[in-house]
Amino acid sequence: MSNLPTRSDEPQLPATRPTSSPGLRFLGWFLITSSVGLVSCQSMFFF
Amino acid sequence: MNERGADTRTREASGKARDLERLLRNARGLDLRIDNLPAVQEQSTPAAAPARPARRVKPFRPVLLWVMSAPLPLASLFALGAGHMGSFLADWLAWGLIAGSAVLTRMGFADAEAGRERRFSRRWRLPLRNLAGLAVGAGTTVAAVLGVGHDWSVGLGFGAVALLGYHLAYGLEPMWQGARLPAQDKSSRAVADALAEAEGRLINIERAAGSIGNPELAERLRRIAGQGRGMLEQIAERPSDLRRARRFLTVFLEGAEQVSDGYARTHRHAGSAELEQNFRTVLISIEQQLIHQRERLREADVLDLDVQIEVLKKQLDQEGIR
Repeated sequence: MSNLPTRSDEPQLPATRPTSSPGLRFLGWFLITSSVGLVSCQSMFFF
Repeated sequence: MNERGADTRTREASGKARDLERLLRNARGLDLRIDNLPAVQEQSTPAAAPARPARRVKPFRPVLLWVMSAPLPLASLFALGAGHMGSFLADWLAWGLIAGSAVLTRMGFADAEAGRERRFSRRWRLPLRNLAGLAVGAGTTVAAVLGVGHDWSVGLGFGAVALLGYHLAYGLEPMWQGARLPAQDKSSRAVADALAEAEGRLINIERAAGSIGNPELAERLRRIAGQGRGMLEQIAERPSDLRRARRFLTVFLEGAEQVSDGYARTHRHAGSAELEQNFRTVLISIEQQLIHQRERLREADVLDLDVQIEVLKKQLDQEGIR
């Protein structure tokens, strides 16, 4: 049998938790807080 | 009416379990080249085969999204009190989008928790976390523009920052999940197709395991899926094993998929002890068969290697090297 199928590359295992480094995750939280949080608070005072 | 329907489904599922059991008993007639089949256990009690309880992992919850969006319902009430209906509706819409994003994030991680690893097949999958990222960006933009009164450019900027923050904090996911064995010729494609089909059945069995309330039966199903995956790995490493395993994969794996799917659908409606026992008996037999078949594949591989070594020795003798 020629051209045998070989092992594929490492499968893309679906992530069950956030997988980024702690630093990037903290940056993400900061950006979410400064966008979603800021706009939510602003909407209480400006409408 | 519902009870009659549930009874019918229970009888059908029990019938399928008995059919599969009968199939296992008559396996010799299927020319599977399996000798000394392990006897189907007549009486299997839960105590006879202690199974580890299913591991329960707490689902991931994006608490930050709920906390950050909490002021929006309050803001909508303030806007309503001030007589601004547009802001009232916009704040509720924004909250709905951000809360929906939190729900989609939890569903996305829970979906992955089911362990639907694809090694030999690819499937397009609804990217729940990507939808969640878009929802949080859209919700933030709506709140900024329609709720607070910012310009569209500022609103879109807020939305983009929220989307970037979501990606860094939780991660967006690929649209296509899994991998497929590369195959250039017809025989290789046949192997790849067979493995992809078998993997699909194993994924359905794992899905059924996730929806069965009984931890013991769920764990048995997961072990069966694990053994099945091991067999697929063996075949991927030695595609010639597919010839020996093909009928086993198509007969038993398909049967296991149908029975587990049927049980998962019907057990909630009718908790029949007889059905559960039949199902348990069949699962034990399938697991034993899988272990036995994998062992036979390994033995066949070793035998092939022995034959190759002997042939090589004889060739070396003929050449006068040894």
